[in-house]
Amino acid sequence: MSEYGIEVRHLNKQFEAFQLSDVSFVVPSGSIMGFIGENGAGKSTTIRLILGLLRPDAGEIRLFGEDAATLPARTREEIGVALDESFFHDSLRPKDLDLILKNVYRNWDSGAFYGYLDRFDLPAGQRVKKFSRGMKMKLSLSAALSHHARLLILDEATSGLDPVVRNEILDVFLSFVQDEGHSILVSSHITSDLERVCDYITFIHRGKIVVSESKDALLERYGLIGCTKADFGRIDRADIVGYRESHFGCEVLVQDRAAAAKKYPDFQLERVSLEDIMLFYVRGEKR
Amino acid sequence: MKGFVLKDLFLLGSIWRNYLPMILIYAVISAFSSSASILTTLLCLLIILIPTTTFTYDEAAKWDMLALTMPVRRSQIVGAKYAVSLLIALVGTVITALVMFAVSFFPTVKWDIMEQLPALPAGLAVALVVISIMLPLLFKFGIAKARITLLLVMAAMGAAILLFSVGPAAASLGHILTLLSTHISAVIALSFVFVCLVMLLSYRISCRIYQKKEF
Repeated sequence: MSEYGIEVRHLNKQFEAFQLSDVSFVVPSGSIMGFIGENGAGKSTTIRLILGLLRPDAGEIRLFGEDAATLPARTREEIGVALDESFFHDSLRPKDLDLILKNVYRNWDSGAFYGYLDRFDLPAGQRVKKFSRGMKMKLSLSAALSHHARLLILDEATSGLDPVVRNEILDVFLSFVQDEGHSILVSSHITSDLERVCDYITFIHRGKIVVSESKDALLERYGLIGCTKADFGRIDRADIVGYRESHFGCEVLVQDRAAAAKKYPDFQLERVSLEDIMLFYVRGEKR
Repeated sequence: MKGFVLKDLFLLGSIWRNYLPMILIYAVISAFSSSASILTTLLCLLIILIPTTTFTYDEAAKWDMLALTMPVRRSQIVGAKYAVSLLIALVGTVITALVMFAVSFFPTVKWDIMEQLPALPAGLAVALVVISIMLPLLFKFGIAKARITLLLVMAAMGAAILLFSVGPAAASLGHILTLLSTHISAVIALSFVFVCLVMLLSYRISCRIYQKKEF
């Protein structure tokens, strides 16, 4: 068994107005990888490439160690997918979906599916067109979780859901990866959700991977310096990832908090959140 | 593939009630007409509407994106569309035959059921050929663009029929038809083979188109 659920190496895809450049990251088995980035950064494109909906210009994608381009049906059976843009047909009911998917997945588990419908308060006999966006996403997740998949690939799976349901879904994710052979790739722009459950974070910005590493190491490594505008000049430009100026002074994201603590002992130095890292890369002014 | 056929049947099942009043109205009209051709025309129209309907639903739900993540080959997704069209077409033909049979008992009916029934398989064959043209267009262009392309194809076919129904072309066509009617069983057998070949060719083209498609 491969030690990785997903391996993406040197992936390139060119569009008219956008380019995915040299995207590489791995999702180790037994872990949750959070895929973050602003809208249009390349998250969904990368996920579509992994799922074979788009073909890469260059690079390699492996799922459970097998080449994704020639993935046999029995391996696809082990991948559960919920996509942000694609839901089940409006005129279908969850109980119709049970019948349909029973004839698509060999490992389809009707008991598990109805269990999730119950858990997420989804009426089995109601047509999808009467479902809210959140309910549709819960239905997609119920289906993704009901064929004993080993890998979940979820695009913006928690967006559009209220905090209570989001919390519940995050708990489902955590129990899913209790099995060491299971892994999840989940993209989201709600970084607080990912911060709670993810083991690893991959941050993509303008089609390029900025960072892909353990969440704890990432949050441990980056730091936020608060200083006056006058003091800002004392910070070595090479240490700065991005900065923001306000009436009260400057906030500066630095890549190495420990080193910065030694180099600038009189500055206020704080830990960062994933949101800070993303915001400073995307919206902060550059060094 | 079975799951995908079921999915289309569920989608069509939700709209079949809309067709019932139409079938009833056409049945009543045919009871007062000189032939039952109106029922055959309705059959053709309903068969032709099948792929358009399921493609419209699939596009609205962006179904293909999800479908392609499932343990199926692209050729199976294409095959399911052909299977559903064929299945509904055959069931539709049987239902139309039954309706025709029921209507033939009306006292106002001026036509003979045994003379009208052979028109049904002919109508079925025409509808299947039109579907065979439509499906690759739908796979290639999607529903909006395919509709326009299909209208152009239909217009071209209409123009061809018009061309053969007037002037010297009509006379020669008449000769051909008279000749063919003397070899009716050969014509039926050849038509059957022709429709099968057209559908098979269409399927192969659709597979090739769908194989290259990105989502």
